[in-house]
Amino acid sequence: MTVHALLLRRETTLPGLLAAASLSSACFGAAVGSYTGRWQILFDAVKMPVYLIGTLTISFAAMHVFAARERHARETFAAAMETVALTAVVLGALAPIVWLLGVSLPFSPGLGTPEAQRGYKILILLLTGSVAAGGVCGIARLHFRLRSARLTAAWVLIYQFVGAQMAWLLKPWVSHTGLDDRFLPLRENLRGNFYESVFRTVLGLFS
Amino acid sequence: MSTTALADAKLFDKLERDQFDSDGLARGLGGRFSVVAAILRAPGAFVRDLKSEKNLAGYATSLVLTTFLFSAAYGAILGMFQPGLQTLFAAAKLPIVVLGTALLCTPTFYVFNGILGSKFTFRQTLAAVLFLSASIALVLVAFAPITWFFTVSTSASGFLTFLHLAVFFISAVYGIHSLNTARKYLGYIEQTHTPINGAFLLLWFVIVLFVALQMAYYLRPFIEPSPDLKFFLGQRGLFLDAFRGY
Repeated sequence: MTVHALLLRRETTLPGLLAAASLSSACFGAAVGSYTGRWQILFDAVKMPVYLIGTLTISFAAMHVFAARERHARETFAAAMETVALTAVVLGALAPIVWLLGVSLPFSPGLGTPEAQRGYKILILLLTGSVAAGGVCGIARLHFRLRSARLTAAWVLIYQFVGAQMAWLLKPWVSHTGLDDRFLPLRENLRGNFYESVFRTVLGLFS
Repeated sequence: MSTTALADAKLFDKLERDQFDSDGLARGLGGRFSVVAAILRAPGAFVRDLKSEKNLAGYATSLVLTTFLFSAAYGAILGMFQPGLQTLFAAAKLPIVVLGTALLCTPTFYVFNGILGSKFTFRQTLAAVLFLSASIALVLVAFAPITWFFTVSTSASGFLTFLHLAVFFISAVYGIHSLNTARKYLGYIEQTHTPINGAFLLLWFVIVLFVALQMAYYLRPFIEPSPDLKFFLGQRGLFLDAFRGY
């Protein structure tokens, strides 16, 4: 019921949105994990809701500062939660297709073969496309709720800034090693951060 | 009035006159199969029932049943090139591909249409997608006698592969045309919202095609059995690899 109301822009409740976001993103996570298989399915099903809702929890205070003049915290949180829930529902809708590709694309433990490398790249491309589709739908809804392009841009910027690092912290998602032996290698993930890694990659292009 | 608008007006007038007793769907096995008449002769009546959510459960079960049986019948002919266990395997695999594709793509259809302004419920969306799968299965079974004739009288598997691909292409085009006509008529009788977005429907057909080809490739072989007569090879790969040999 919440999903239908969410799609039709009708009134929803916070617990309903939270449940829809958690379940839909867990389905998408499980579909992503199906490429590596076994435990990775469970790992990603747990990590995906943590990623979406955790990012919102950390970035909400900063997001609210920009909207506090015109809106109460409850209103801004409802708008932000609706956006995250819609993004998650879109990802959940794409989950069956991602799952089919996940179980049927070429794979080998360690991704050692050229075919497996190709399968891995196709999956990454599919995930990027899915997340982009979810993001576009979420941003369109956010703009509809906030009715301000500047505020929408500020919120998206803050959410993405935190989200990129959150995704880095929660990796591996697809596991480029092809093994399902790491749920959350925090020691490894806390070494460096997303932006430092991007900076090094860019530097590497010119050296 | 433009030519397209005139053609649409004629089509809507024809669809308006379609009559189908959907209460009869619940009357035993024969009643279930009467849905074939709705697909072929009275799609307008089906669309009106879809809009008013009348007998949706009856339609859904009938459409699933016809899709399953008709695609299984065509699947059996696919596997008849070398009769035996492969006939059974192919008969079991084709309904998985047709129904599986429909079910895997339904959430995408529901969510994106909802975002684009449709007020269709998940049940209505599912019935519309099953209408597509049943239309495809119906054309497949209509071509079954012809493909059977060529299967028993030909020894070249290459020719048969292209014949089956041509039949699948015709059935897909018929299915797409049926759902697109239903979309147009729904837009005509539904004044408050757009139940199926036209531009998204085109994109969705591409997704459906991609999913169907990938699923069929994963569940191969269909025509010639594997050397050890396995249900499916279990070999991963992208469907585009199938065209490498040509």
